[in-house]
Amino acid sequence: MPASFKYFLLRSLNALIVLIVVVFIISLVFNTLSDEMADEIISEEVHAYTMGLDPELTPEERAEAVREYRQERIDHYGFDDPIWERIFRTTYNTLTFDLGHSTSGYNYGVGDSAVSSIIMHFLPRTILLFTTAAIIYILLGIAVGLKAAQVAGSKLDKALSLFSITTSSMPMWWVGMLAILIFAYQLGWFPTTAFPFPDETGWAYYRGVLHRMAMPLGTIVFVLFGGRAWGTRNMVTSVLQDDYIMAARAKGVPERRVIYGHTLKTASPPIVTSAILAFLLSIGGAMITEIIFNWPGMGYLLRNALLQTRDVPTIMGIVFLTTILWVVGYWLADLLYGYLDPRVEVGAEKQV
Amino acid sequence: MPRTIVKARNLRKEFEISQTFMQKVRRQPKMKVRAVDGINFDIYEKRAMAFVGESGCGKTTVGKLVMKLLDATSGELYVKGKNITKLSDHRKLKTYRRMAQMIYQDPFSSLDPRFKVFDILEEPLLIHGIGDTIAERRAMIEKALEDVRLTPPDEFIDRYPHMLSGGQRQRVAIARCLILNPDFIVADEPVSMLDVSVRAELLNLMKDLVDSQDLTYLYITHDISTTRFFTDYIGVMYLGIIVEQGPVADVLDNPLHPYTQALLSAVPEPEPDRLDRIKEIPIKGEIPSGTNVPDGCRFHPRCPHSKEICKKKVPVEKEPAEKGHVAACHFAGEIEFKLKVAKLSEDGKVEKVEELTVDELAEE
Amino acid sequence: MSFRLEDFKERVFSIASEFKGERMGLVGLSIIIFILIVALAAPFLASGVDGGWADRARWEDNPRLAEPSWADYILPGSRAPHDIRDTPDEYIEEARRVTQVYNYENEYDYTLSDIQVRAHGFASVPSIADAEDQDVVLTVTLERPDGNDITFISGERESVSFPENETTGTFTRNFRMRSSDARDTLYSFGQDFHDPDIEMPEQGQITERSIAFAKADGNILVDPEPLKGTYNLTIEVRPTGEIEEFGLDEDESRVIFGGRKYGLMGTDYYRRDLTLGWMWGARWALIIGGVVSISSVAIALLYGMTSAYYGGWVDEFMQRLNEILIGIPMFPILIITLYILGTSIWIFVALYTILGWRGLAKIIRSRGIQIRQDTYVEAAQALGSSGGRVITRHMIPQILPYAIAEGALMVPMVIIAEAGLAVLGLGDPGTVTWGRMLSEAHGANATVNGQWWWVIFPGIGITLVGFAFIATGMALERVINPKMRQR
Repeated sequence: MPASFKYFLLRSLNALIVLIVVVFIISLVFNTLSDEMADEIISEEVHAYTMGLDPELTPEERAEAVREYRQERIDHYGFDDPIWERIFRTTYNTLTFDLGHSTSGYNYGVGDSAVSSIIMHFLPRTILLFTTAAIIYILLGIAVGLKAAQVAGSKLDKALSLFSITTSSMPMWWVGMLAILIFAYQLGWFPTTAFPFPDETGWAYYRGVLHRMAMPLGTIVFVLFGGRAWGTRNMVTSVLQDDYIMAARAKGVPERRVIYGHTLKTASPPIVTSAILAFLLSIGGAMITEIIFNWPGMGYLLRNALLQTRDVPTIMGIVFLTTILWVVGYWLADLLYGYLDPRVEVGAEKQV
Repeated sequence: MPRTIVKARNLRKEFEISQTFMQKVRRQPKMKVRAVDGINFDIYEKRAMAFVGESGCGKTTVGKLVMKLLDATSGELYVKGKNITKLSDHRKLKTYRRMAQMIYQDPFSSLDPRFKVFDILEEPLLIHGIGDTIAERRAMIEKALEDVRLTPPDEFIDRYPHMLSGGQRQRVAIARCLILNPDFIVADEPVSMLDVSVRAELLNLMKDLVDSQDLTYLYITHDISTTRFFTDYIGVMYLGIIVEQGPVADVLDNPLHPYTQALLSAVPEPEPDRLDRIKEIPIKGEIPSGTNVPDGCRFHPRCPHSKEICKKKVPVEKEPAEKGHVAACHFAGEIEFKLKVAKLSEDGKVEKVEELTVDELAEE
Repeated sequence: MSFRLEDFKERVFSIASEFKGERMGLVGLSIIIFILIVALAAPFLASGVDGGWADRARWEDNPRLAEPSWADYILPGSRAPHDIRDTPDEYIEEARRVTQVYNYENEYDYTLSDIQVRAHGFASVPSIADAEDQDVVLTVTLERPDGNDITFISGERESVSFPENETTGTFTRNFRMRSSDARDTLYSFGQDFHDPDIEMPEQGQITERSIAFAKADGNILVDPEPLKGTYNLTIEVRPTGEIEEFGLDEDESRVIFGGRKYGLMGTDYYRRDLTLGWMWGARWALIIGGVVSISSVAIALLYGMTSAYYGGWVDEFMQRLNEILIGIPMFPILIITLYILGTSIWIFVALYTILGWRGLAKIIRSRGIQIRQDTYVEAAQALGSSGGRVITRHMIPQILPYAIAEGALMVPMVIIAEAGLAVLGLGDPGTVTWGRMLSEAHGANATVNGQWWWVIFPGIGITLVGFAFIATGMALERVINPKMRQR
């Protein structure tokens, strides 16, 4: 399939351009407006350095050492370099995953101060929570949506419509707050905070994690599955109105096969891509939901970096990561759509 | 001889078929459709000229070229002596637009559904800054409505297009053209979407306007039967070229080109009670695509009289009979066009098959 | 010009008459109208709240963490109302002592959250020479119905301050039952009655304020039960030294019995009236949602229609550019830019607008291409209309209702995004938004402490506005585009 391979290359090129453009914009904003922050970063580091100095040193030696160290750090970051050079360097470093070092001082309890190590420490928990939630709400959403499409106009269908409108007007993390009020405060079923993780090993550890994960997971699923179901329902009903479906029905094809065979085949490209896009759009809300539950993932790290430590390299790292996720997700959605729906450009090629 | 108002010389318009992004990447050669492929014609002042042909023959493109809604690929188009193919200045174009107006085929889509009749008719006045006050413009609008016999104007002026019949809408469209006092009007199948009952009425109106408003028409139609009534000259188009043109009576009574003859025979049976015969039109197939024009005479694959020469040599225009009546056929004036007519018995069986000329058919 | 009011009216009426059949849309519209009224009323009914939200002094007289007034009707138990007393019930003047007595009738299950006293008085000395280092002695006592009185301030000296060259000075003493001294007093008061069989709780484990109004039994520390009856709060002032005349000022002195319920939505930890904040939240929600969606829709209309009308390389260029824009993720850009540029709400609005129109522009362009093919567009061109005129007069009006519906669907996303950023600490400190209220609730652990009213109402505001706009937008879409009616 050379044509679709070319489409793949082109779409990938586009994604790469977007990624570079976005990182460039971020680096630009970051470098043009961050003189104050540069001072902050340097003084944080100098402070940490001062703490570790040999207490036997005379004040003069001390001052000299600090001065040298400060200059060394300024040179290291290149804060004296021209602005454009700095912007391009930040762009390049970020794109090559050289995310620098955290200025938090305590590295969020991670042994290494490299931002990439810190992120790698927190990321798996976020992935655990998000992917589990995504699998559940997407499957549940498609199942409920299909059911509703079959009985379009019924009470179930109307209830689903109301439910999906309501949940999509709620901030996900607010639903999390309500969940804590009800299930943790009032009923006492779950811990009010997910952190720290259980101090146990083996089976008990996993049970403990699951217990802590239940509420954030339930919250994400509750808020997102209605929208998925409603979207699926709409795509399926619009396909159900196509002539060939009518024809299939008229021929006496069993209703189950009409829905699961003919209709789902046609409706699957938009269902799949919209699921990916909805997932991407929900990342912000889900990260804030982590914060509400004290789930020790990326959201938690972001809030600490933003509010407590003002740790710019870590913030940049998280921003870069979400950018990559978005660009890759968007790229994947497009490719999948092209793969699943032969009518898109890839297929149009074949006719010529 | 009346003054020429529109003069086309070797006028050409090609369309490029838009490519997908992938096709561009693959550098596939662009496909071109030769919608109008080098035509010459003259339209005389206060006369109506018809362009006839099947859909896809390029007649609408000619209309849009004259209207300057499309830019010609090459060739010259003179309107009142000015070459409008070179016209690009915005202000001059606007002046030109005031002079030339167009009536569209579909009165349901040519009027903005959100505008009332008043607004539709006011718009050209506003665009060209005619009429200083609303009252002044309203008077003009009422006059225009009267001209197209939408009377009393008060009854129509506040209606939306969906509150009008097709015929009434088309009258509004005509009024919109007339309100600018144009010199000539391009009418692109103005009656083909209307009920048969109102077609004649509307054509009558347009004919009256030729006389009363000193208008020149370019009348585009696929229905050759309406041309005799309405126009003075006719050009028959086939696949981007004019195969035959001349005074309307000459062309219709003495068609020189086999294509014109075929079109004439395709005119619906004038006597619906003659159920005892079936005409078979001798041309076969459909008009080929403009991307793939046949060599030689472009009509030859469908022509019942096709000879070797037709496949190789492009015919030049001949003037074998009346003056000004020309046809682009190697055998113009030499061939007689015959129809196969099957006579039917009372129980619907074919009794015999005859070949008759158009004249013989009419006599029978 | 040719815009005429009656045409506009007619168009609105025709959409409105169809809209009447959309029940959800009508519900949504009524909610929008309600929120709009609240938002418009905010500057009048809650003036200064927006700027003064962080001003502690402004809210001093309110109770801390009071539930909504109507909580009694839906939740078990009765709550003490908030009670501000400007005049004492008794004022007793004796030779060397004045006493103010405030009667308080406790008939509630959830007793007062606080008692605030401001004792303001005057004292005069015979000569200017004496107007220095003069004290009065204050005693504040809560007399309980069971006779076990609690003395919060026991004969403490309060110095009198004299203006220069005057013989009459003033003194002020403020007291709060929540102060650490008072809490110690209450703890030791409770210890006296504590059941020795039960382990003595630490001071951090108890709520001292309940002890003052609790039955003096063995459970007073661990599970205080309300003691009903009449309490008297007495404030006694005695002079010392050279003071001749003295007294408590009726106008300047007062007592606040801090209630457990207040207003429509209660108060938060910082004693702020959540109702007033909620009104401003409504106002800001409509402002940011409205400004962002209106300007995004306007940009999308112009961009999409220009691209559709001109076609060719203009279209190609604009679409490629838009594709790149669509690839830019909103969330990270918002975070980094707000963090670096500062957390002004207007920066948020500008950023969201800059990134908000791109998707809609794509849809509008594809619809615009269909409209472009309508003959009346070409007819307008043939009449001599310029491109701008065709776009604004013929093409945009055609798609405007659809764009308005899309704009309505955008509003909740903007409000939710702002609220989320507030939780991340990127909210505007100068405005009260629902997001800010929730972020403060989270910061004060309102969920973990069961302060439901602080959490529920701002969130309901967001949900209500979101629901209203989505329901209205979807109903509008159905009315405008009958093809979408799939039932």
